[in-house]
Amino acid sequence: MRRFRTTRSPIPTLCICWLLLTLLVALITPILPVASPNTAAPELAWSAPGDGHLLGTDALGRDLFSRILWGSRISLACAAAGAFTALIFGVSWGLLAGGGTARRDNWMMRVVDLLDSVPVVFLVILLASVARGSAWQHAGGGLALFFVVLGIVYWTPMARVVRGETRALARREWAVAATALGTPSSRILWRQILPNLIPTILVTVTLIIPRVLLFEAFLSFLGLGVQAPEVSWGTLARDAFEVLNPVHTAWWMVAFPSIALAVTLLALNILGDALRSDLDPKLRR
Amino acid sequence: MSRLLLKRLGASLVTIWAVFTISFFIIRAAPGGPFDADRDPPPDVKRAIEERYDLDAPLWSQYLDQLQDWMMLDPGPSLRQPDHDVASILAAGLPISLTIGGLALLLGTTVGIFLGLIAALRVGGWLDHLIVVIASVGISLPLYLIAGMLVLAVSFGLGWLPPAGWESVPSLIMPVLCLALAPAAQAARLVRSGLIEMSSEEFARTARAKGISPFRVLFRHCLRPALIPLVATLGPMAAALLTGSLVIEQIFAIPGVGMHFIQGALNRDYPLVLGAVLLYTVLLQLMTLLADLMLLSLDPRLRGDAS
Amino acid sequence: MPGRGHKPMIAAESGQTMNFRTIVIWISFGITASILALLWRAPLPGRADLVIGNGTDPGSLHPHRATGNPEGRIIRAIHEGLVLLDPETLDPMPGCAQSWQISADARRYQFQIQHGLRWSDGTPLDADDFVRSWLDLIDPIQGAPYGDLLESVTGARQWRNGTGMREQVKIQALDSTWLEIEFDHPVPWFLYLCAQTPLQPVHPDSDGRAGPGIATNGPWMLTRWSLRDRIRIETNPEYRGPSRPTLKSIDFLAAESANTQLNIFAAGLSDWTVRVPAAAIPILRSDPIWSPRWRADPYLGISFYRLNLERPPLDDPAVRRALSLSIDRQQLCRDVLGGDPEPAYGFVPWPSPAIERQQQKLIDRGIPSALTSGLPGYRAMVAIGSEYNGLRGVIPAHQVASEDWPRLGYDPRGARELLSEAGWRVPGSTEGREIPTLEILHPSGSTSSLVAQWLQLAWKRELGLDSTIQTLEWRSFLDVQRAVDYDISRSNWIADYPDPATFLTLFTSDSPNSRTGWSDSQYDQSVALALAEADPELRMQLWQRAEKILLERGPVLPLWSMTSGNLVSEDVTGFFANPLDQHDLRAIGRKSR
Repeated sequence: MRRFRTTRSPIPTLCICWLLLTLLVALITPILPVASPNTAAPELAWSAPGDGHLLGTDALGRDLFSRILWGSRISLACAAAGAFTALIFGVSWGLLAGGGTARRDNWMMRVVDLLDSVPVVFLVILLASVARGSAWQHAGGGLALFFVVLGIVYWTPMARVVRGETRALARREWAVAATALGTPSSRILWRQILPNLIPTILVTVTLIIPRVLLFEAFLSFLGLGVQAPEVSWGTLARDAFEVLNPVHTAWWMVAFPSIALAVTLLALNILGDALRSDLDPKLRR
Repeated sequence: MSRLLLKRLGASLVTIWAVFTISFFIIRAAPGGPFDADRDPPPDVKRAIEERYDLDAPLWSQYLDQLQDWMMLDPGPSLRQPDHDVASILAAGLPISLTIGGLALLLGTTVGIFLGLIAALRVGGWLDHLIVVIASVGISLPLYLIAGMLVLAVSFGLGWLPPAGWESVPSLIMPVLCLALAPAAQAARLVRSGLIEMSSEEFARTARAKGISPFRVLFRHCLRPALIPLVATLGPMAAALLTGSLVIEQIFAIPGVGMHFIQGALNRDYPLVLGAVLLYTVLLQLMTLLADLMLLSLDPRLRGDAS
Repeated sequence: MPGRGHKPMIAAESGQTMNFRTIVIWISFGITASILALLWRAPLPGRADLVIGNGTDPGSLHPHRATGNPEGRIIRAIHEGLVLLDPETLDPMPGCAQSWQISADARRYQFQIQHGLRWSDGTPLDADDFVRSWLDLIDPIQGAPYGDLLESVTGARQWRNGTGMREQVKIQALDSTWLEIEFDHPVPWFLYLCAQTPLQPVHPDSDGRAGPGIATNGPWMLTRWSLRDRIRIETNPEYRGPSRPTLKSIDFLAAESANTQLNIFAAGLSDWTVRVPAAAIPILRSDPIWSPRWRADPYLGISFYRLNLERPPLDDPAVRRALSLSIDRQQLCRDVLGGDPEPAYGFVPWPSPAIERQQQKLIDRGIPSALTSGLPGYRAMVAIGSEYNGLRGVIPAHQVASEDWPRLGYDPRGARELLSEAGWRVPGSTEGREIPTLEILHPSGSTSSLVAQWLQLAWKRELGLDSTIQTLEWRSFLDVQRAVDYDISRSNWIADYPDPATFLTLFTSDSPNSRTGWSDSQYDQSVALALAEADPELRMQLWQRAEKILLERGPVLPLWSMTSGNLVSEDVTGFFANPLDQHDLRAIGRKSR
């Protein structure tokens, strides 16, 4: 393993700091002295940022600051769900496809193609209604199933990347030599090729997470995302869109959630790029 | 080459069939039906409606019927808009979606390649950082927020362009710009890293040692191989464009195919959704095929590999 | 990523370069061609005289199949029924029928059709066309969603449930000009029905479809239908009816998103929009630039929650009353709904100060109509009933809202007392059973979600009641509601015709739309009596009795009387507030600029 090396530029460091801060805040939000995200005061609806409400209030007079903090928890959980399935399913699928015979590779990648073409919106509708009334729901499982959907959608890009790399690596001299020496192919895959893939996997995960978060926001836009009273950055983005019109511009409703979302995703994207150039010796200069 | 094409075509057909089958059953498993409303007709009348659309037949026989209809490319009328045939609905929307999507892809990749080239020329410089950040901003916010803000700024702040509608060339500009953001960002990043990778190769060093200007080296020698990863992602990129167009078509009131897909899904307009899914799959397959062909011509070594 | 990890070729053979270029050229060619094709499509014939932002893309435009308001607006412009409604007072006026006779018990209607009427393809239109259209509407095989509007025609119910035949339905053409229709029970609202979408005449060749090629009989005809884009109607040269519309052409724009609708209006690309985002309403109401254009008017619709009586604790009437008493409907309407809607303390939309103001305005201008005396209100309906029999008179609102009317006002203390008397635990006491957690089911949508969250908080605060919120997208929601698989679920009901019957027949035991598991023989009896009663005053009293039972024991939690919201440009004339939110385009014009 190569040692992680910070680049000369301070930007990736800043990104890491921001992401760690977000993570920390999300984790400790319940013990922070902020208002509950669901304390409504309808008479204070649409108050601009100021006394009492640092970042203003929304349509029910709820504190936007606390909603952003609480929203970060569910958004990060979505991200974690996406990253988790990508790491488990995506990596193993890609590895098995790329390291196998041309035939196996072919059908496994066909399955990936297939999954990419199936209308996800229906899966979301379907799972939401399956979740309802079942034991899932009472354990807060509506949300859990939502995470499953995000996971299902976002392991395929990882599988594609890993498969491509695996195929390239499997043709390297050392892999060919190991095969010739009679090392079982599964051993080559998991013990020799996988460690070499870690940089790629890491980069792909940082790039998949922003897509998961954007997808969550997209589902919220369609009314299929995280449901009230739960709050996520996706639902906040949706609320922001509601006021983006020439009549009612409650700018704080747009500005602050956008900043939170954009800075976090930007940090992830930039970090992903920086990681890639850092971990790939050819990109170092 | 033609054998390869035939093989690919066969595989595509199998994929399309599988997508059709899976989608059909997922769609039909979703709760609620196309004729549900606040008010229900009496049961007898409801049965009559379902009979009219064959929705009362066993699911497998409906599946076979639909499969046959689609093979004849005649899926019949839409359930929510029974005054129109699904085929003509999709045929009306397709050119519009293709225009917007094609323009966005063209604009996005062109701008992206250009930005990537500049960034690679100035690796580590402030221009490079700026481009990397700009390229990422476009994919760091939900498209609907970007579109909403753009409309407020351009249509109402500046009063330059119509905020929505499908009437004239100006009404094309904002949707295309919004849709082009993601391909531009992706292209810029891929081209930048591809160029940096290439420029550390021996041939590039040799060329620079011979006194050829860095720009010329990058542009004439490195760009072509650096485009390979970009071309390889054209398929998924086009697919992402389609997802983006769902939002863009809704916000800019553009009568493309994306709206039919979402509204069809929400209204349980079964034949329309299946049509949209099939169209989407075919397009995706075509884009992947096209990307593969371009890859072959860009990278001849893949030829022996593929066949 | 293929290609990574390989050494690239420095120079490719010229053949391959060609190949790559060829592909790029072909792609560019394809894109250019498609753009050119698009730009060369049939050009729009300029801006229409009026552009309406018509909300969601219409489904069917066939009168028998259409269901929503966007469809209705277009259909009523391209068709003309027997009766038109005065755009301001909603009084019935001659349409295709030049006159009519109504029997004293409001069970037999005879219409005299005007001479010389034509379809837009030039073929003549007579009484037979109406008979055929209406019979098709009832026809169970056709499965028209609003077929039940004519179910009370003598013989219709038998035909629909398979015990009768088409020929036995009492809709007949006496000759080419006289049409007769007979009902099982008094139907005093039938004239209003004649003006509604489903009862418009349908051309014999339409075959269940509508479109630019299908002839219609209204003052306009459909000339262009671009899906998800716009529908254009233009003057019908064959029209011989009584109205003389001033607008030559009208465009109906489709846009799914309310924000987009508002943007289009604000940019001046439409003159009237029927949908705005909920978040904009407080500003539209108060901002001096917008408020002259914002028309929020009482609407014959009620927003309520259904309660599932099959599930404890909602089978306990005390719990149901307590849930209702702990809602501060004033605050809901003012702070959550933007201020336009009025709190509902009954199931039939409640008369409100706004309506009374509206009435007063009309009376001040000397417009004599029974409907002007506040149709949206329950009491107004009393007046409508009287009108059919030549009586005029309004039972004042306070007469009904007296002590014997079920109490629904905000009274949290009373709610807690009710609960503890019934043996439930309330905040501040340790006795009694604990109320189990309830599920609030609602369809996705921003207003619907805000209301559910507000209610959840209110019940927690006032009654210590725990509830969860379940959001489902529309069709899944309907599926669950119909299966009565919920505790509390969000609902709207909008009048099909201005009579209490349209609201109060909803919860009878045999109604397919009750969806609550409620059945009350006394209620059923009151409704049956009211439907059969010919005497208008007695009829209204029976309706009131039914409504009282519904409120005291029934499965509903009324929340607010709905309002229509239209954003209308100031140079549009002839746009009048009315409780059906039907603005006849025949009366609408433009101020000369």
